[in-house]
Amino acid sequence: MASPDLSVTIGAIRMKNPVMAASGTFGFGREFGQLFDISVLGAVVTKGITLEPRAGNPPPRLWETPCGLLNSVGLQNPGLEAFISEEAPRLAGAGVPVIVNISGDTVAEFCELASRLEDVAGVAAIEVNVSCPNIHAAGRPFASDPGSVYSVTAAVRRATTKTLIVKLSPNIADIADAARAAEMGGSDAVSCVNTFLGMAVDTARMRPVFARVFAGLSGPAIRPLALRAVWEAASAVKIPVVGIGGISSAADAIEFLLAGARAVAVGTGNFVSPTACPEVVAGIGSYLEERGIRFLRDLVGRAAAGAFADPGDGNPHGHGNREEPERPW
Amino acid sequence: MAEVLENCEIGPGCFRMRLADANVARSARPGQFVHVRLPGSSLDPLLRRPFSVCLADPGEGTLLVLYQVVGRGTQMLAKIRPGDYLNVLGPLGRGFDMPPADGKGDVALVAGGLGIAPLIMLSRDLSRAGVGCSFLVGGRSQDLLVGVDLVPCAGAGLAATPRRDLQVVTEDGSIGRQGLVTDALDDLLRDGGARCVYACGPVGMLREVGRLGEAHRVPVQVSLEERMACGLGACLGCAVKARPGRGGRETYLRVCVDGPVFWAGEVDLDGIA
Repeated sequence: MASPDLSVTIGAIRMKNPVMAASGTFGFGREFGQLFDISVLGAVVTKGITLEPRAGNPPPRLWETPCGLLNSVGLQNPGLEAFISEEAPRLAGAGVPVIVNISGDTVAEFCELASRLEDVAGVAAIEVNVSCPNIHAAGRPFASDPGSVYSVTAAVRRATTKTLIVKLSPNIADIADAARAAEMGGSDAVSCVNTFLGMAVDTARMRPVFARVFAGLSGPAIRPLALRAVWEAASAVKIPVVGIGGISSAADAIEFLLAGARAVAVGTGNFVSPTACPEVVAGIGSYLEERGIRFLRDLVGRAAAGAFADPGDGNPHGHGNREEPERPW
Repeated sequence: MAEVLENCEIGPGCFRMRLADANVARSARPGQFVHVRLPGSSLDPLLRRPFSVCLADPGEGTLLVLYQVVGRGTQMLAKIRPGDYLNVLGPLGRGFDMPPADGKGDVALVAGGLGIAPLIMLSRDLSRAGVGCSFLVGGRSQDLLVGVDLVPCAGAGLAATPRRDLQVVTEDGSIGRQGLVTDALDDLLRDGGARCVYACGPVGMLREVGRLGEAHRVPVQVSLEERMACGLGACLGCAVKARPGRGGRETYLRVCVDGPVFWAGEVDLDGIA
């Protein structure tokens, strides 16, 4: 048998395999690029960038929890201009689709970021980080309300012709609603999920560990939670879902693919093993080979077969759409 | 994977581990660190643990690290037996800058507790480069002064410290001079005994060393610690605040790649908890 075909498509991005490096865990590919050839990946998602440079939060920024990691890095990044002049030209030649993660405090900021990235060589897609606080909604994150997800998605959609991915937050009552909002806003895909809000208290100082009190939980600890979110999102929308949350091995990644993710991203796993991404790519290939499965796309959503009404709607990769929902917002 | 050759307790909760890793042993420079994954592909604790390289022997292909049991990760590490293997990433980070070759005079090394680890290899390389150094070693008490026997030419142990330039200071006076190691540094700098200071230890000690360096107009390099995830510069987790530069904009440096060794003037030591 020929080696299995791992390729998948997200919007207009043709990925040679379904494995991405998740935003914020891979910088701009420089550091990990010294350890392995990043062109073996399906895609690289950059550290989140903002219009202006951001210094980030005061330390401590990290706190380990059982099988997990709380972080409060605070979007430290060099800003859009520095990204365009210092990072993008190198990434354009890296031989891997580059997805630029963007963050803003207002819809206008998201739109400006997207439109200024429109003509930057080597940018394959925009990933919208809706988890950042919306300064027009009392600082509540865009992601916490499907209406805000819809407005920011629809506005960015008008600002870019590039593939658009909305990164959903699990810190919401119903992630399926958020996924539908992103789909209706014109997103080409959703990524599920960003970190879960958590916190830690330093018992020696009798104070919260983090200056901002709450921090984002990632790592294997959140994997079952993220998997459920992916299942729910994939059940709710026709656009592809990128599964993220505690993936550190091929077995973890395959779980997400079977649950309905068309692609996956490795995040915190990169810190534990810097070669986790290429190992996941290789492991998925072996899994398919051992089972005589020729195409990775035949794996996507397979665990859900029969769990939902037969889609029959030209949506072989998700579980199909139940009824077209009314906008709940 | 690096084979563990030795993992023995050298003080209360303090361990010395010798690892076989030809690559690290060949390329490690003083002040650099290794990022060690805990045994058994552990996901709990999840993250690697950074340890300063204490000595590296390129001929034997081995390296030494010193560590203290402070949490679950180091508890697990303490149970490792010779013959076990650990996943070791490194050498990582920016090490100490050697003093300019044309300079005259000695340098001072200031260690607090386990902070002695990276200074041991530095002292070896300084001796090889023909630079004289005063090695000031501080700790709370005699039993917590570990690693002193590893200082090149320091003799068989604490009982015999024939090296005139090795000075031991304990807070309780159980051995050596009683007081703080920074008191000894202050005296040394007053006598003009060092053209450059290298320090590693608790942050309170480093702040004082930085202050003394400024007062005596002697440049100081400090080796810092911070909670770390990737160790490669990508995650931005191990940030320390930079000394405000011109324009005064707030910026952070990464301990893992911009350090762990910094010139004291580069970082805001007062801002570290």
